[in-house]
Amino acid sequence: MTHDELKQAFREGTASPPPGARERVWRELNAPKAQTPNPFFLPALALASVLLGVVITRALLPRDTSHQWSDEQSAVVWTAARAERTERRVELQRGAVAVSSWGAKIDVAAKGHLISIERGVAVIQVAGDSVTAEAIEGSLTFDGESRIARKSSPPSALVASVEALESPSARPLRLVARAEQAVTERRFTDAVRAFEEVASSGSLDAEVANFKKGELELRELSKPDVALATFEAGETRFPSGALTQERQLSALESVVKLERWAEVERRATRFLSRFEDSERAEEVRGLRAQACAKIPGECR
Amino acid sequence: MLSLVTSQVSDFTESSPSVDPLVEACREGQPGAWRALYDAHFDFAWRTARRLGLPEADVDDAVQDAFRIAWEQLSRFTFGRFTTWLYRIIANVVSERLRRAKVRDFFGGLLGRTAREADVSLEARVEARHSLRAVERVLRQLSREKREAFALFEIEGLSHQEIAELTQTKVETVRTRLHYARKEFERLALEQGVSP
Repeated sequence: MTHDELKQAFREGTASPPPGARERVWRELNAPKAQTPNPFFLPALALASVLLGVVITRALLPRDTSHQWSDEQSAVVWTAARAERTERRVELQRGAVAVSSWGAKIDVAAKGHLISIERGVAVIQVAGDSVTAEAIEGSLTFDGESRIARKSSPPSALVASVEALESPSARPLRLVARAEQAVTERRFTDAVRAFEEVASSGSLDAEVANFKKGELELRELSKPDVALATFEAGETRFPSGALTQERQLSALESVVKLERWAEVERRATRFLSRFEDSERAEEVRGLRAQACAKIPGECR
Repeated sequence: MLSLVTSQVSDFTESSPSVDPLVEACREGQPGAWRALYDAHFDFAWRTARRLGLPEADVDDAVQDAFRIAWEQLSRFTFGRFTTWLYRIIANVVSERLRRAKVRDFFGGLLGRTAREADVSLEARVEARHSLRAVERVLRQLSREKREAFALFEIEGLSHQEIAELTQTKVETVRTRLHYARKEFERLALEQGVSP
């Protein structure tokens, strides 16, 4: 059969509808139309429902977020955590939050627990139903119970982030806390170093840090000459400071330990003339008498 | 055969471009008008659907769909030949059905089922020499535009001008489509085991 014959055969074979087709179609056309379900309809509906469910669920459920916030005294950082911060309070549902706060309290509420950080750096983590709170530096309270920082905490990117966010004004407070922690752990050299940094800053705590540094040098490190230099520097910098009397007494004590009796006599005389009514005036008079006994003829 | 072709051509080339009185009667809701319109065009609708490559088993449903659409949209038909308008509806219905059949065949193939008439065995090839199915298969493999051009010219015997009016294209476009449709028909027919 050639193509033309094939076409001709097709033409003849399709020329008229089969008998009864007209009436059959007419009946169907006028019959109440039974809805034939599209075979793809139900699977498509199921798929669309699942997708819609996923979209709605994702829209309604709290999502993991990242957050950074800081003010003069505090900083809060989280990455990929389910948390929300309102002013100085963080509601943590999942993940980890790093908090640094020096002088002002930050509360973290997690799974019914309350963790407060007022002077310290801490990481609070929620995994499932468990809550862990670790003080990296300084201290925190967990449901009112105090916890101090461990001696060596593992480095963490989250901690690095929160430290990077700290305000410069929080630095001296942090150093003071670090120094006090070092004193507690009898790491006096570390404490002196931290106090030195605070003392040389413009912080309100500078005078206190200077005094504490001198005290550590005098009493714990047994370096009266170094302590004396520290007190002298404090005297120069804070001539009318709140700790002037205490500083002069400690300087006098340093000179006694150095057995520089002429200087003891001179400092004691100067102290008594300036702080005549001091609670420790009698003690200073005793020291002066002791010095005069060592340098006969030089005391008036 | 000549008279048959001539009568078929007349379906497409009604002399009056004005709206068919039967259509007017249908719009006015005259009793029996819709049935008369249906009777007047049923053979044409059936033949057109069939000659555009739809398997005979599917033609009744396609014609039913086409008349239902025509009935629902009759108010939109305001100008021209009713047959031309009905042809466009039928061509759309057929095209949609052939498209769905291709999708079914594709997914059937994925599921391991033999696609409808897709696998042509040797026996089937022999049978196809004397079967309308060979032409159906070839027509179904052509694109819609080529299929229409080929069926209307080669099977219905319409002129290029008439096909251009029906398919709302230029005569040159019809010629081009027909040229490529013929070449493709010959190639596909050869694959069916039919020599030129």
